Amino acid sequence: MAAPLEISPAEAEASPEDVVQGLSARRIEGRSLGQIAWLRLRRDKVAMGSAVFVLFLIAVAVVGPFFVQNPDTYHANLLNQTLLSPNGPFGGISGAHPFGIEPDTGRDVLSMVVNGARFSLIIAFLSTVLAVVIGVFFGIIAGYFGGWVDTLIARTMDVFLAFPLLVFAIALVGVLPNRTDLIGIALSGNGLRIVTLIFIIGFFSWPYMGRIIRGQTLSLREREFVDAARSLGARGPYILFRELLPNLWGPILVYATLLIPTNILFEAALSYLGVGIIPPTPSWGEMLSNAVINGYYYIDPMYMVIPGMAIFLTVMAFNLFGDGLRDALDPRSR
Amino acid sequence: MNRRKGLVLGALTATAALTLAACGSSTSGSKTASTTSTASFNEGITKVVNPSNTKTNGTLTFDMAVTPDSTDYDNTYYAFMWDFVRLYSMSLLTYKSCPGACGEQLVPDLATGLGTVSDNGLVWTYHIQPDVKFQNGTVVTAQDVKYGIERTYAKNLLPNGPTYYQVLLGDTGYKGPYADPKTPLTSVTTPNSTTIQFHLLHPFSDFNYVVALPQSTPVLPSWDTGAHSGANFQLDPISTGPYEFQSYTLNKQLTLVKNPNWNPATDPQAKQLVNKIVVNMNMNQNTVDQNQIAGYADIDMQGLGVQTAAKAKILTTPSLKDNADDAINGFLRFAYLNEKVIPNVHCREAIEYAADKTTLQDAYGGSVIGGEIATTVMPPNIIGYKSFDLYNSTSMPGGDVAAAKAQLKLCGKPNGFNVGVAYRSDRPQDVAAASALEAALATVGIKTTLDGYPTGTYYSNYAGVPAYVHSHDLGIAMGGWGADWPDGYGFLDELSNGDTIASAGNTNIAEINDPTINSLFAQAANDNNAASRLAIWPEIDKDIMAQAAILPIVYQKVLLYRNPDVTNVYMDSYYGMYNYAVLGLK
Repeated sequence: MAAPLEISPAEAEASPEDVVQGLSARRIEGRSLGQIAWLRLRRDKVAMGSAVFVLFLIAVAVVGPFFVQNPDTYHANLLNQTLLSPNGPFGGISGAHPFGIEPDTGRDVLSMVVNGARFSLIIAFLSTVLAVVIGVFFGIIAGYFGGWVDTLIARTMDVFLAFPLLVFAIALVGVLPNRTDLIGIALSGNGLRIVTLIFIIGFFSWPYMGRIIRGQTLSLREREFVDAARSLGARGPYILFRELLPNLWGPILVYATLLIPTNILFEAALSYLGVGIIPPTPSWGEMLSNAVINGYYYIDPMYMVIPGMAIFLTVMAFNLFGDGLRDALDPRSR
Repeated sequence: MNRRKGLVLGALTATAALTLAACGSSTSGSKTASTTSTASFNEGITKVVNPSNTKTNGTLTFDMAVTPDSTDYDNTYYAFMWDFVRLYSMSLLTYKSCPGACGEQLVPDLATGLGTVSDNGLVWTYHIQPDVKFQNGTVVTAQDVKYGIERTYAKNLLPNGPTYYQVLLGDTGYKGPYADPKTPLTSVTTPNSTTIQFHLLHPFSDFNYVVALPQSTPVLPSWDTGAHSGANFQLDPISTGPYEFQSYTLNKQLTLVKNPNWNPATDPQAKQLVNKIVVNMNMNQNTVDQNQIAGYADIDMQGLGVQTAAKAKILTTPSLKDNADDAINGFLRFAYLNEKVIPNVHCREAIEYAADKTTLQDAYGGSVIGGEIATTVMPPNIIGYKSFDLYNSTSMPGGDVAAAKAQLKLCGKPNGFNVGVAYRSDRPQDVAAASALEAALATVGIKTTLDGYPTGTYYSNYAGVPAYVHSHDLGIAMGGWGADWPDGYGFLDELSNGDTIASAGNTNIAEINDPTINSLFAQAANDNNAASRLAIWPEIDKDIMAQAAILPIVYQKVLLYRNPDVTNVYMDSYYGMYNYAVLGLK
């Protein structure tokens, strides 16, 4: 004989209508894709932790520089006069300098890291936006129209992906001028350099996005809603931007989030090789570069560890968040 | 646990491991690949370390972090090149190869004696040894010396190098043997094959010093043709020294081998003790330092000393410290303040007051091993040096912000101004100094834009080209300077004489063209009395400082490392680094 149904006292006294509607008297509604994804994401603790860290980083980049001292303040008095190394262990960590000071100059490492965050994140975000815009545009066109358009764009993407990016980027930054009057806006120094880096990094990372979007578009264009729209008289652009694009937000978001850490590393590599932000403006890659080239690693290893950790944690956070986002939006790819 | 948690855990463990590793100090007990030496710290400043005349079959290795401006002895202006070219060239006169003040004496090299001057002081005569041969066996004649000097007039092809001949000899229309093959240089005559005479525009008692520069090296005209003529001569310059070029990949690697036609009896200041000499160029300075300590390289050719990591290793390891010398090299590190880009003297004085000399000194190695803070243009070892301090650098080395702001008001820019700073981006000390200057000037509102350039073309294409400096707003240019010869004229002339401003390869980068200073130089040139000449140099020095055309930083000291396997190592007081012409191997 089957076990009796477990009925709680509340249920035993409920009216039939209430039971059908659910005891909390809420209508049972279908959930939208977004809501389902959000709920799945919320349950993923690692992704949420990473998201919190990313938000913290953005906050540091935006308002951090106002809370730390000017990174260009030299503290020669805190250095050992013979070796010019920081007095005190762990690279001179103290109350006034929670991350220590830089050898040879005595600059505060915390403020250098916080200011460096700003450049790293701005360049990474904006170059990702650029890559996404170009990549989505060409990806959708290639995927939808097929034929020679697809061949042309796909082969172009292949060429870009085969390029030795870093070498080409170094060469390009080296030949660009130090000051220009670009479309009427006079840019010089770091301003121009940031714009240059955004364009170069964004320009070289669009194929990553383009290939993914092209693949997604290829599978989407066979779906019934595209046929339906076509039979209603819709033309190419309408289908592209009103039918296909809204269905691509998922992958776009995921891969954009996964593209950001790649671009952070790209910018750090360019700074490390000396073609990033112009010194003495601090940047994480440049701090690593100085640690190696000027030999700080020998007298003050913390000076290398700290920006290295900053890059590492940032990249890891974005990667984990992007992973979590992908799991939330498309669990089949797990 | 799921895949991602495993990844996170792994990453965190790796992070923890890295952090812990960094907390310990990295003493990797370096093994010097060389025998113990009996030398001690700073011994190479006053004595010859490992004296020896033993010939070996070894290869002497020079490492260099930059590229030379040129290997052509008629076209180079870096002290390390002037030191190095003596391995493949003989000039009319040279400096004695001995440590200490002894090394500042002039001695004959290609010539048979110091020059003799006619009564009116206008004609200098030199006789050359009759049996010196080029590397191909041809005997050197006085005409070959004249040809070498003619080449220095071809400033469009050979822009580097000092310009004393052009100023002292006249022949202002002469453009060099490539442009005017038929028109000769008339102010240099060769009555016979072993006599050369210089006809000066006005008396110049220091002329022997001019002739001691590498530009009086003989050049065989038939060698300076075809594929390696003119600007390409540097790929295989004809040799009269103990070694000759075997191969030279431009700006990458140079190999020298013994010159069989070199006669040591004609050239006692140089030695031919090794089989081969290799120069590796364009390396990373840190790599150069580590190579020296590990014994893979024998000498750092630039002679500017080691960087932070090697410095720390050397100063804290007694066995390595014994192989090091912390020597005054006679150089001034400074910044040019261009008088055309920053025309108002008060604006320039604001820069002088605002500069923080302690952070600038730290950029060059700090107070213990980097050198003393400088307040004058001439360093203390130059004949004619007098101490003075116009901008409170000794009393307020951190900078005098109040005085700087007062000067800014006087120049009409109370909130500061924008200016560009040129520096050599492949020299870590220059980079650090430019950054320190930027930070110090920012405190009074002077906003600087840093523009880095490579050492090899700094003077020929960028900071040394006044047109480029003006168009790029480079009001400040970092620089270093050693004396062309050890008195005030030899130090100050190419830096501050209006006559020496050139359109490329310019070393008067501040573009000082002051009638008072120019006439003082002319007065000193004509004066044969040593005492009255001596009084002129500090006056010029004070004038330069009063118009704030130069911002002196340090009287430089360099921490040089000598590989214990190298013989005959000592600090040459003229070149400000080890004497390269006498080195051998154990």
